[in-house]
Amino acid sequence: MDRKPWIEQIEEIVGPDHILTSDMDRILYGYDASLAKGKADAVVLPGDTDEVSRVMALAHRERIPVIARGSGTNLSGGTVPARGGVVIHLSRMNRILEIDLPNRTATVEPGVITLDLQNRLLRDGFVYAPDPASQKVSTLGGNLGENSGGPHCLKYGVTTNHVLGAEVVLSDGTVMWTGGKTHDSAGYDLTGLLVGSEGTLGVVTCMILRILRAPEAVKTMLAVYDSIEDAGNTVSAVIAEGIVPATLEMMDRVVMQAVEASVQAGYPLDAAAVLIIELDGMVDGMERQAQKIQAICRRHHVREIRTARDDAERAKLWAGRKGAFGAITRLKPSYMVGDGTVPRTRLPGVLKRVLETGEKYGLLIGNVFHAGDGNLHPLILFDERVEGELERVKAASSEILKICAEAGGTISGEHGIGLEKLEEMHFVFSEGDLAVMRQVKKAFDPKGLLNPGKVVP
Amino acid sequence: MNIVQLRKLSYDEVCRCNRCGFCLPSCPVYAVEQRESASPRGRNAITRAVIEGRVGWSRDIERSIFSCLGCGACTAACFPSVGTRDVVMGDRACLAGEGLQPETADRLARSIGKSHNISEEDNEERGDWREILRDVPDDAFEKDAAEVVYFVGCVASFFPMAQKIPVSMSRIMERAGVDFTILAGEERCCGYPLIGAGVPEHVEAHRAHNLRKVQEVGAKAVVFTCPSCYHSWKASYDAEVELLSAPEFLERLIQEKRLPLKELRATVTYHDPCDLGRQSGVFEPPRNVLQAIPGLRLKELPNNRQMSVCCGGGGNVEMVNPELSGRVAQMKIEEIRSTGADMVVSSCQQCLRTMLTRARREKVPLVAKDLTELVMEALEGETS
Amino acid sequence: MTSPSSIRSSLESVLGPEAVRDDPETVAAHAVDGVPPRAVAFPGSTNAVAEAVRLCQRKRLAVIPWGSGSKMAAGFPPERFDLALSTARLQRIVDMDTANLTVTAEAGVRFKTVQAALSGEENRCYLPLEDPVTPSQEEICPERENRGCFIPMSPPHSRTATLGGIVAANSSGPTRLLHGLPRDLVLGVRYVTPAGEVVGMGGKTVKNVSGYDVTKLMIGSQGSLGVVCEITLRLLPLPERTGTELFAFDRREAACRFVDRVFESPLLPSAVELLNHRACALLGPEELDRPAGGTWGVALALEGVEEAVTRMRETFGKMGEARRARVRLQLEGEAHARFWERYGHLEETMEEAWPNLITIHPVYPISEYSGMAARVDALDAVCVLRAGSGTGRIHLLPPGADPEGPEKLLPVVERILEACVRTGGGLTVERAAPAWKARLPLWGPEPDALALMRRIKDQMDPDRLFSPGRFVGGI
Repeated sequence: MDRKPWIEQIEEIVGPDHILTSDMDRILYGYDASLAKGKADAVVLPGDTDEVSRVMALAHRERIPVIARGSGTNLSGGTVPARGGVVIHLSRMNRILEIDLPNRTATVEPGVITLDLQNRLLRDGFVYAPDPASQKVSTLGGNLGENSGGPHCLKYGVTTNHVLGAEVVLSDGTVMWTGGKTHDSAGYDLTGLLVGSEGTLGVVTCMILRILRAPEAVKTMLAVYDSIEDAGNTVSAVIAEGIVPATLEMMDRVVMQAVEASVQAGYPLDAAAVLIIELDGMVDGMERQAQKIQAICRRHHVREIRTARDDAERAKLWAGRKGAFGAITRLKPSYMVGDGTVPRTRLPGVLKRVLETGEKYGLLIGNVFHAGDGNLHPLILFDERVEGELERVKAASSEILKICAEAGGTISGEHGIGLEKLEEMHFVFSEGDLAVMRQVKKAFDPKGLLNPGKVVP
Repeated sequence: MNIVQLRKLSYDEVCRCNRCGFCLPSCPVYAVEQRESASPRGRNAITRAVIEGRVGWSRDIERSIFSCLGCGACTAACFPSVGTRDVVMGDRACLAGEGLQPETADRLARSIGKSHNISEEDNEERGDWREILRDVPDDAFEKDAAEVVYFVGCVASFFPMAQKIPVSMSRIMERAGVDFTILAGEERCCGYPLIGAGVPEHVEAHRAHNLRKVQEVGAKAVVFTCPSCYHSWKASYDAEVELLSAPEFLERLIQEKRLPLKELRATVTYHDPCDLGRQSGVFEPPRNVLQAIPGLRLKELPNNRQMSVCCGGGGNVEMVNPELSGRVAQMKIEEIRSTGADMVVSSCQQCLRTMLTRARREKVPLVAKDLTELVMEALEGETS
Repeated sequence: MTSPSSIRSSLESVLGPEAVRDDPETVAAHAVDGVPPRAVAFPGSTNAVAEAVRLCQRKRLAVIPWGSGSKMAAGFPPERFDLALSTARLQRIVDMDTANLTVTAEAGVRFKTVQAALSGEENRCYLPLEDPVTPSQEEICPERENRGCFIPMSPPHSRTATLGGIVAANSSGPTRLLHGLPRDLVLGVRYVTPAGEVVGMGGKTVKNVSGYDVTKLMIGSQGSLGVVCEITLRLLPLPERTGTELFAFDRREAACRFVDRVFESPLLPSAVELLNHRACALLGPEELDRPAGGTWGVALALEGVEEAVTRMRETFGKMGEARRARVRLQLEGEAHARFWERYGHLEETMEEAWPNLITIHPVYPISEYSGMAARVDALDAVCVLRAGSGTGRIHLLPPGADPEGPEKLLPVVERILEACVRTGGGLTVERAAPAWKARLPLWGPEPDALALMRRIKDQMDPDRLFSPGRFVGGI
């Protein structure tokens, strides 16, 4: 590759050790956890906001696309350099700058691993509520970019509900703060816009997060069902009964089998579905709530209910859920994961149609979902090396998203649009809606250099 | 090895990697380097790209592939259990086939071929560690026939820092009345470093020689203080005798009440060597040995057993990229210090050497001992 | 210049005669900072709103959306004001899906109205009727006990506030401590853009990351980016039990230390409000401010399961005792509801009694509440501080008939602003007489990202037709 002059200029900014331009590195920063692929022109590993700003100002002058990323665990092609450009890997900016317990905030750089913050906070009896399944790997900057969810979002909300402020570098290198340590800031909610914008509006280089006191008590139950409808109806019934648990997670047989082969979480292999139901909060009345839930489960023909007796058992029940996506490639080498979300009451009906779609296309689909949120994650299994399979999978996946949209839901609950769901944006948004999003993009990034080709078709 | 063979060996395996990234935080090299080429996911992706013809072998790829410690932590964290370590070893063989292996790896392979050990020393000097034991003859512990062969391994034989291990082990076995022998100059490298150097085809001659020697003395068991030799024998030697790691053997001697142990007042933490723990599944025996020493308190590392973090000494990285190896060792030292224990105990000369070398360089106070050393100290009637 | 009558007639031609008024009384009632519009439109549907806006776009008429008018005193006086776009006829509750825990209603619906509808018995069905998965819902949950749902908000102006107004102002009250702000509770909006296009963002799901979160942009945009016409909100099941604990302390420090203890505990009250003595006197019960003057009160709202509320009452009671609370009152049932009703109505009460008062919404990091309390202690103000939320309301009372009175308040506002800024916060002035506005920091310190905010306004409302000049930085 002929070295472009701007590469040397970047080298001057970040130092020769922190720019990668080999063919190998350009390929290695061309993927994420989705099926999309691209190739970067160069990869930069900046050490601070100033370096990010100077690299972006340079890219702006040279009209080079900029793609910011963390651990690259996202599931929609959001960090794939679709049109080449400079990939900014924020892994070196991984300091927890401040834990401010009296004000209930944590100030962090974007490269901090989600679980690292979590473990640090737990020492003081606090938590950062969003808990994406990938929290062990994912970065907080990536969580912000994708507006990540997780099982506990049923009760605590998603990432956007926990980000108070952000330092953002705009496409021309300008650095500014949105929001801060306070909960209400005058002016437009730019922080709210940045969260979930998949790096298309700016590069966040510092963030102020809201932290909460760790719940006093936690109770985790596993409910085993012989019919997936019964499990789905239990979810509706629990909510209707006036109980909002911390989590209401569901897994079907296909997923359980893959998971058991991987982590031996103790899921029964012959069951049709399991629910992981977790209550948290004050200890008072929790036992009664749990009994109420168990009664509802029994009304819906539950086969068996297990309650975790200690942290170890609880961790075991969760280990399977958290590794569900990864484990699925024990069955087939590739998978495409859907992220459609529907009003929770529509879940059983939609699920039936998802399975029918799998049959129609002759594809095996495993299901794992945040049932309480109506957020489905159908995992379509295949082998991308087999000619024609990917096309079939994409068609089936799109059809499933259509089903979700028609049920009054949406095409992505927490994984984002990225590259993979651009076409499906038309299922839920009119041209007028999309025009407004393009205005937002134009206000932030008039030259269209930040993560181009993503989010808005 | 060539690409056709590599495809056969690794293609299905790397295709099972779904790029979820769960291996990233488990990889000590990624933790230090913070870039994709230093991650297991990256190494799988490179392999796949090479097999699919999207990229050719290069110096950059050589650096990535030869920066893997072979510790296997990635596979332990991997839900579909992709065997990245084996993938990497396949890549190394392929790189060596192309003449693209690092010079140090090449030198290592040639040295083992010539002198039968990793240190370019005269193999006849293998038994020289016995000089430390002033009260024994030069050919001590060498017998024509014995029940047990003690396979000392290259590092413990030649590196002064590690020679305390065979000294302790032989003393302990003597005290327990074990009928054992060493092979001295007839012991050859187990072949494990050759796999790491990308020339697995050179292993066979060493394997055949070592097996023959064990047969000649009519041993029923081979005992190892080196986890890598142990793993290498278990995984590829097809030996008809019992193979025991030192912790397993010590555990047995203690159970048989052949080792009277006195009180040692100390809090220790235990580092699971990758080749002993994750690769060979020996987790509890060393802990049982420690618990058998009266007065000793074991405080586990935050990452223990399956999750144990490599010391930095694996995969020949120490030779190819000593700086990287040292930075990984630094992380390990910090983890050890976080426990507040008086010392770290391990069952591997390489782990001790890597950690102690780094600690000395950084002037960090660190006490690190091999399990055999500690047992020796605890033996009644021994002065340490 | 379009004459008033021609505005009326053009609007009438698209909306019908009943939907447009320009009589003096109506126009005066919709004045903003003393500036009357030239006409008021009352469109009856989202599409009608769009028609009206398109007309304004063609004729370059400046529009200010209008709900109940409760929060119109905030912001700079309008640069131009041709049409008040009232949501008074957008009164439909579109979809009450208590099983899904969402409600969708038009912007003109009063908060109070939806809340009452949700708590009723009639919305017990929780399976979608058009898609029955199980033949009979009775089979699914025959012994269902839940009594209904609620919007977990406690906005000021609670008797009059409309959903549209609450969203446009991101307006919140005491229970934001437990349930968050409108930005956490609004799942979707349908609104009319300044170009007159009807757009929909978000929806009926709690999780939604499809495209940009434009809903967030609209929340708190104060009518400067379009007219919000339809809102989908997240609901919660009505709690099993609710109640209030009221305490009064002789000394401010004791009240603050009590509040600190509350936050150190693992208990989860839904509101912790610190009240100065004037607020105590206004909100009552009488005992709270007896003997009058000098006391500080703390009001705790409790909700949850029976056992949790009982424990909170006991624990907080003991904590109050330990801090020598002079008064402890426990409110339940009707008394509890009436107290928080008065609380939500505090703004109106104040505005009726002192039309010239200045209402400040201070913003500060949450731990700074005690410092804020110290700062307002000596002021002649009705003050509530939202402990744990970093905000509150300070109503500065104009000193009697003194003609110099207002002058004296201006430096007070500056001082409060300084105090907030020092902590990293700011303030907004929610109400002040138009004549004083030019001399008041209405939106607090200039936001760091003001330039970007202007670019958003330029993109979305290039002709500056919506609430021109009223928002932050004169946007």
